[in-house]
Amino acid sequence: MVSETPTPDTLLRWIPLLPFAAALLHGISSGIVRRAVPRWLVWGLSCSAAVLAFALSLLGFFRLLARGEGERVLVDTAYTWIGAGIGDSRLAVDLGLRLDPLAAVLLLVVTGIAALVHVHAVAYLEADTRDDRGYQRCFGYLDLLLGSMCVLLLADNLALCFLGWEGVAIGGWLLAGFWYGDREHVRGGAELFVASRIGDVAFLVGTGLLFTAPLAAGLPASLLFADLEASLPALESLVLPAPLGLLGESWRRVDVIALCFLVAVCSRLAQLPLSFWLRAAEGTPAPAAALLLTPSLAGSGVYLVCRLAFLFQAAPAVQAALAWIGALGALVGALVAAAQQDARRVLVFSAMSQQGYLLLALGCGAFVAALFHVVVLAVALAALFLIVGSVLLALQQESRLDRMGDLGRRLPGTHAAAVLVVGVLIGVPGGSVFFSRGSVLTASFGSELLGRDWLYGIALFTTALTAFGLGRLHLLIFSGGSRVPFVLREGVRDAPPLMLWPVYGLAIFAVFGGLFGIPQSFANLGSGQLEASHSLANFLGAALPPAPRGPGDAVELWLAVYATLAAAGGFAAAAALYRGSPQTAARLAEAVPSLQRMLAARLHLDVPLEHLVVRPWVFVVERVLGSGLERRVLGEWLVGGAARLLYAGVQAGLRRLHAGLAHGYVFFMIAGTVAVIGYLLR
Amino acid sequence: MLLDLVTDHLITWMILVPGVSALALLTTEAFGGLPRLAWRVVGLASATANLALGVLLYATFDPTRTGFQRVDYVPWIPDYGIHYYVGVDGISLPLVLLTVFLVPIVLVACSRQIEHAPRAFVFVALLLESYLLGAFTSLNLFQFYLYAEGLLVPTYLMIGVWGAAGRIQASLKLFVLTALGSVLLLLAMLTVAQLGYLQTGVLTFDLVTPPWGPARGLVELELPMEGPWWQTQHGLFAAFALAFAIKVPLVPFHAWLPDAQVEAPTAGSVLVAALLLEIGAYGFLRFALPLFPEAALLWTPGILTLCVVGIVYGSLLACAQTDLKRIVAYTAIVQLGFAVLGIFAQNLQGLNGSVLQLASHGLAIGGLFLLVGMLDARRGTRELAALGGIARAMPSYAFFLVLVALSGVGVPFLAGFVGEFLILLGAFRASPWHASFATLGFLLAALYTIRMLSRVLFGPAEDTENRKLIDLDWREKGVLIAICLPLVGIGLYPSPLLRRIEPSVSDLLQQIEIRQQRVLLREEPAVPEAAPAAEQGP
Repeated sequence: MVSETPTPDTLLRWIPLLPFAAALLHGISSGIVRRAVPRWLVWGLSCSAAVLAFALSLLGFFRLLARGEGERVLVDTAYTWIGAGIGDSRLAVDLGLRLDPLAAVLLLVVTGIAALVHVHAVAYLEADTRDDRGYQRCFGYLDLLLGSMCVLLLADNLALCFLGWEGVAIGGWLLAGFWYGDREHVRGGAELFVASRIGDVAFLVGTGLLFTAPLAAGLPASLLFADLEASLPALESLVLPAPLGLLGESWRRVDVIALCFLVAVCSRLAQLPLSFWLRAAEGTPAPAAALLLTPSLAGSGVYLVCRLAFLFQAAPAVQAALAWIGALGALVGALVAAAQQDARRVLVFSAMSQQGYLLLALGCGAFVAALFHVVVLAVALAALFLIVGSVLLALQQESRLDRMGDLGRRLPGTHAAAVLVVGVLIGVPGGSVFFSRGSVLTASFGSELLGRDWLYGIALFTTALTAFGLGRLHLLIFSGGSRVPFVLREGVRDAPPLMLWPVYGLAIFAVFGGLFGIPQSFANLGSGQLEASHSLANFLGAALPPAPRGPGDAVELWLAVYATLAAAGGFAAAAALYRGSPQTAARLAEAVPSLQRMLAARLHLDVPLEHLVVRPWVFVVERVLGSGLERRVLGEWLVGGAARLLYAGVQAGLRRLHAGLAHGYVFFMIAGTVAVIGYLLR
Repeated sequence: MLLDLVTDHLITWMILVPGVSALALLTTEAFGGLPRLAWRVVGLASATANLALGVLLYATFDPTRTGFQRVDYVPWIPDYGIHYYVGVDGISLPLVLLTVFLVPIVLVACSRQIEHAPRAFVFVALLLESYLLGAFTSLNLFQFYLYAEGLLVPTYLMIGVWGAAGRIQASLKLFVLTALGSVLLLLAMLTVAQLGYLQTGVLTFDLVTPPWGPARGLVELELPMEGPWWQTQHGLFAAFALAFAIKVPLVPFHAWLPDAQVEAPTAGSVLVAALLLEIGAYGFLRFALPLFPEAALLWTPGILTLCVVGIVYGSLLACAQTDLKRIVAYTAIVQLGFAVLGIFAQNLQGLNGSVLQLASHGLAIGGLFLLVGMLDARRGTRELAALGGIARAMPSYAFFLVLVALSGVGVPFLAGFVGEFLILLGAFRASPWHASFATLGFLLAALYTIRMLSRVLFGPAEDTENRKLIDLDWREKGVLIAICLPLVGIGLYPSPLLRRIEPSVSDLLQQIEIRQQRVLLREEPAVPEAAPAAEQGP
């Protein structure tokens, strides 16, 4: 990976620059100038920036393709951003961009989705009249998010990557709190930002611990990914003294670093215990949520692990933790999603569940599978967010599932897209998720992690749960009898074409995108005996560590059959319960009320947070520190005491000395000033 | 001819321009006095002229040279080694620029709000600028002392005359703590000079060797490590450190700051937080470290711990405050804690980052206090409970508040990040565990900033007052744009500043390291690699 010869190409800088420029213009216009700008100018600017960024990414992608394997790297270094130090300890962080296959794949996905989402948003924001003053603001935020994402993916060093990483968090915060008049949304945005910050801090600690590693390897200090990877052997021998002798005398430095990045990634993928910010995604405008949640947040997390794959491979314990966190997150998310009454919430927790698979794959060392799955998921979930957004728009933001039903006839265009996307997400054979999740399941089955049978079992069970949850969502919205309140029925209208076409675009990719990653076992099945079927893996080449050896073609095919059966079972259960009338489901819920209640309350995940973090926090910060230590001890006792002491000192005879000094200052100052003037004018 | 006179003694002119115009304005009072407007115009003109001189200084500053540039050296009281001795290097340059940049901004932004004694306000602001520049450029210890302590006079005035209700108590607190520090500093300073006299036979307060004359700079002395405690490096370093720790202020010597900030008028808050506090950090860098490097080596873990405690403690308290101004005051403690952390990391990343942090902190905190003042002037309260939903009525205000506040959080592409990032890298090299805890400050910064922004700007505007507020006018926008441009500029492209900071910093570091190395060698001859040993942490 390191030995590739990079080719300079100034194309790259324009990819993040265009969205940033649009964001800047929107910011200046809506933040400083405050003159009404015609709407066509607003969306024209943003959409052209997004579409151009996509076109340039495509161009970069083809330029990469045109090169032979081993030469697929483009670089573009603008200038030295932060340079400090000389000699050995010199550290220069360039604004350096680098397009390699790994970055190119995600960049295409992100800019592609962003372009479609921008187009969708043009019509969506027109139709969503909750607060029409935010038209330009929303586009500005979207562009900021997109530009940050591009920087994150293209950065050739950790500091610049962090810049994009933070930008994504800021964009997310702004978008989640977009309707800032609602306290819930503001709170959601704040939670997103804080959760993200926990990840950021972990990211920074990891960076700080990493950056001296090249020194130990005899290289100059550096944050370049390539240098960091080259210094891995030296890094593996470094240790950190354990604080207070916890867990042995010293810790392997690489373990600590990998753990830091694990935390960062968990906060991004909304995995336990950093999933508390998910509420934020519920308040985000639909197009923004589509771009934010999976393509940006999850995409950046997966990208980071892939980029630092060498670290995780050197820290097997952390990698195993990754897999387990992922599996648990997938299970919890799917369980919670299956019982929610709010359409947005079902969607958000389904996303959490799906993203759990990403961590599972990464933990099993199947980096290519994780990348494949995140690409597929980003597209499919973005489409689903847009679809649900359209439905809610038709219902004037009524998001309770028990007030929907039978919307299939009223919203035919949206319904058609939903059939495709939900089908793909459930795992209908041939759809992209069928292949991508299949490779994740295969990887977990074939891994040698602790408790891998359990991992596989959880993943398989979650497949069934996902099918149940998404099937339920689909059926409750689009079929059965109509439960829509009368006041809303009149206004139910299908989305305009400008909103529908981007969704179709995403849906079509979601159906056929799997072709890029058909596992070898399927290819061998066909008569063609394709030499190399997994075109994604082949394109990535050496950019990612090779997939671990699979369990064999026959086993893989059986695994696919199991997954399909599980999904079919889950969907059948949903159909049995919700297809006709929801009474069956209600009766079932009555049969096990405690489970239903627990799931509906999101498994009480917020409770430990509230009791272990929020309340003690308020007590310690406001009582103990604020009014106790700061005001009482420091303010009254210490300073007050010092004042009394000084006063006593003055009384005891220091008065003359001190007063003399104070007068002396003033005298000297004036005298000195005069003397200097006199000298200069002589 | 006249131009030569200016360019040859640029620093002196920069100190004189505001000082002399202040005095000149004062003398006009004896002849009947000028109207308010004339005071304002003259004050602003002189501050702007000084800004132009600052730009000239920046443009003619030679980034390739180490050591001091633009040196002026005039014997003043030669018998006691007290000279007028000024010059700039890469460490003081950003601070000088910050000073000449912020004072005109404060004059534009605040002078209209001052109703009581507006002339005296102009006078005090100019005097403050002159003293600040003197303090940042002094190369004579005694002269620095005079400027740094003289500064307190206009500061007391600022708080005592234009402050809010609790101003008397606040300035008393300020006085008690700073007086303690300055007495210590004076005694330690006299001792250093005396020790120098005993070693070289020449009595001088010059920090570095002057361009002519028999005196050698005090930094070249090797002060003893053993002897009566008040004559050893340890005792002297402790006195210097305590004095500067009060000025910065490091926790637990910070008690004066929040009160002083809250009671001060907007202009006072800006100048105190953005400039006065930096004298403390600057003092560590300019005096405490180079004079007593051997002692500093021993005290470093302790000071790093103080910094980390201060960062966390200050952030926690910022989370607990309900007065907008008090929140911002505590963030100043956090930011300067980071700066001192970088200084005592004692490596290039840390020091470079600290100097840059001082500059960017000054801009950001100045902007924040200005913004708080603008809201206070409109709404009449700074209590979080009374605010909320301001963004709807004041979108421009929201834009600037978010931008400036995010710089304090350390968001990349804004100035705050570059300094903090370098400081953290430096700290991670010096002591990973300290640095890890310091990063908590990043998290907590997000908490208090988001809390502040959410409570002030967002949410429903329940109070009708908050719906009727009038957005910023163009004068205010202009002021804020002037602050935000360098904030973004430094964040995007800090190299021009870093390039000028770096030679001085690395020169300083080299001097310190050579002397510290000798101590390490003397004490532990078995450990020649000091650097890898430092790698491993505390």
